[in-house]
Amino acid sequence: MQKKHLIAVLFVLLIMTSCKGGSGTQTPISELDIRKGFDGLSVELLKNAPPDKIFEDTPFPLIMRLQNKGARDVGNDNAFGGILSVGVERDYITMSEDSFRYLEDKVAMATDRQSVSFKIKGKSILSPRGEQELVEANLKTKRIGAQSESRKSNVLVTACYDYGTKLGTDICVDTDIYGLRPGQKACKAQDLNFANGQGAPVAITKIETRMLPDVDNNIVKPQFMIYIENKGNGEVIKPGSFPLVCSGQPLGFKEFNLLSVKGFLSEDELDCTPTRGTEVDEAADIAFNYIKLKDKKSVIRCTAKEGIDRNKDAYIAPLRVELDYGYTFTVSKEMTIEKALRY
Amino acid sequence: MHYKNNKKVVLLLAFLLLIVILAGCKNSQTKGAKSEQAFTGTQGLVVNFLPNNPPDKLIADSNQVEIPILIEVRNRGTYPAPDKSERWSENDVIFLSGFDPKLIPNWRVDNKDSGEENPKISLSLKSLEGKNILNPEGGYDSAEFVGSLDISNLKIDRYKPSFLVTACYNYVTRATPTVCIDPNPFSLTKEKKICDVKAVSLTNQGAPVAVTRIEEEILRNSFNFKIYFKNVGGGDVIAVDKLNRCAPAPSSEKLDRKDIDLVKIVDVKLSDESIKDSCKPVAEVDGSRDYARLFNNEGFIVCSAPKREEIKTAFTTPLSVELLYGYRNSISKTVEIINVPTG
Repeated sequence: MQKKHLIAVLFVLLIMTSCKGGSGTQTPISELDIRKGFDGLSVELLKNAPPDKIFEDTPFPLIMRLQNKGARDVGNDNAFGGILSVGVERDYITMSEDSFRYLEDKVAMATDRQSVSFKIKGKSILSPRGEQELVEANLKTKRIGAQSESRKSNVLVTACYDYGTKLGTDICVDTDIYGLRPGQKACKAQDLNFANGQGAPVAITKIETRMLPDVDNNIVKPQFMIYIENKGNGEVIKPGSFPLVCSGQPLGFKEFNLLSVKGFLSEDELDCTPTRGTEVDEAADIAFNYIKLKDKKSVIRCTAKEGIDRNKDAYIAPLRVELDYGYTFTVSKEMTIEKALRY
Repeated sequence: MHYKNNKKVVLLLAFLLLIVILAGCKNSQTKGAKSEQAFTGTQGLVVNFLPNNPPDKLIADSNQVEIPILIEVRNRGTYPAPDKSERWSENDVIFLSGFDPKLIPNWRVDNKDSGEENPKISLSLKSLEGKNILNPEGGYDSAEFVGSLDISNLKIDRYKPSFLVTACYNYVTRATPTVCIDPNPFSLTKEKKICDVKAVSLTNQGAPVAVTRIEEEILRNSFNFKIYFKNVGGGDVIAVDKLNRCAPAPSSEKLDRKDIDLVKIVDVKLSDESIKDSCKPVAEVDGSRDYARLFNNEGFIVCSAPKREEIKTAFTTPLSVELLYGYRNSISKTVEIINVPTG
């Protein structure tokens, strides 16, 4: 009897120990780094929607799972920020006027027969995976013709949306440019590499720090060489041009690979060059400096407008770089339309 | 039987008395050792952060975040000596740097508004006497810096300033070894002498710069003393007349490389006679030729005393060396300020 009790106690202890182990270590909410990775919006076509094979003259669903895996919201409370455009071969597949279905009207709204506008929130401390939405379109195959037994056809879904990259980092402002000043410093100016991205498809990969001397005024001007790269699978488009890009209208090369950049050191705006022109948003009284990506990459030089007294000791200051751009990519699925044989 | 019991009691009492005596003896030895310890050591002021002040992480979950930096200051050396009426001067300060003054502009120092970009505390306000027989542990005090960070100015997710606390202060080294004065060290007669001329090695003297060795050489007309000294405190030795450049101040010059590694020879006395004017090599600072330079933290001077006709036999006498210098040592701690969105 006693032996049985002992075994029972040991068993309970074993379970309790394993329970403790199972709880694991949790990362505190405030320590989550949401600005990581190279993902922005992702669009996934659900399995069998559309199906791999389908008979002619048959309705079928196209279900798109949208997930904002990046750290920036697409759209806001007042406006949609992206468009999904469905492309089909019109000889084989049709879309009706009211083909789109979605869970909430607030999230998406059909803009025309083939397009739907949407908004979707990105990653945040409280929602570290970003929001997900399902958008469904009801399509129908047409007859494939008397001479054919089957036809291959593609369904394409193109996403166009406004997005952005925000990098916040600590920079050492070291007024002792050549390291001649004796003694311990709070920090030393050095180049920074960012291999993990900032939670957006366009990433700042490297920042080189320089302190430019101005001997006459006894100041230094911090300058930063900022390396930018499109690490995603899509194309960068000019910010605000997403409705045009997803409209099916002809586009010029000027709409592509253009993004606006802003830099701030200790919340003082930096002068960033070279740029491909400036546009002023008069309503917001903001000027946008555009830069062009070449082979998906670019380098921009941002310099402090005002200098820093050379007699100041080294200190760590926050550097913020903001990129605004549009982004577009396409996912597709090939399906086989078969003739329904009726004997 | 009664007699036997009495004997036991007497033995027990004798044993207890012996323990008390032994304990008393041990105590008096420790006291002696402590009084000796008061004049040894390799440090001047030692500053340390108190635990969790500042904390490793600060969650910025309100509009204003206070950054508490509490440090303890110990005087591990022998300066200032209360019996010599020595005091800390206005140039003896502890100051804080390493953070962005635009982000953290307001500081309270010991509960008073600082009004300075780099807050500082004068040591003259602190109870930090040097070690002495009455206070063998040296002075101890604390200093509190409290910064106020306005979160609306912090537009990045994380800011990691490195708070550098630097102490800049005058310090004095006093060494009084006994040297042998022998006018005829190589005399042929086998007379018995009171002492032999030889190099004297010294331990440290309760200061960050220590006199480490004295070599004596007898010349035809003089006694030469080569006095070695060394920076043993791990900080920087600064020319005492340039100490006002140590702490940052508006429109003040910064310390230069040439202001470093210089000690002022206050006096060198053989018996009661100063031989300071004979000391070489000396460095000049602002027209004063009282300085000796350190190379790789070590330096020496050679001072000579004239041989007097009346000295016929060997004798021992104190050689007093007094060095004055500025000293700087720093500690730093990085604090991660996590910007958590509120509301």
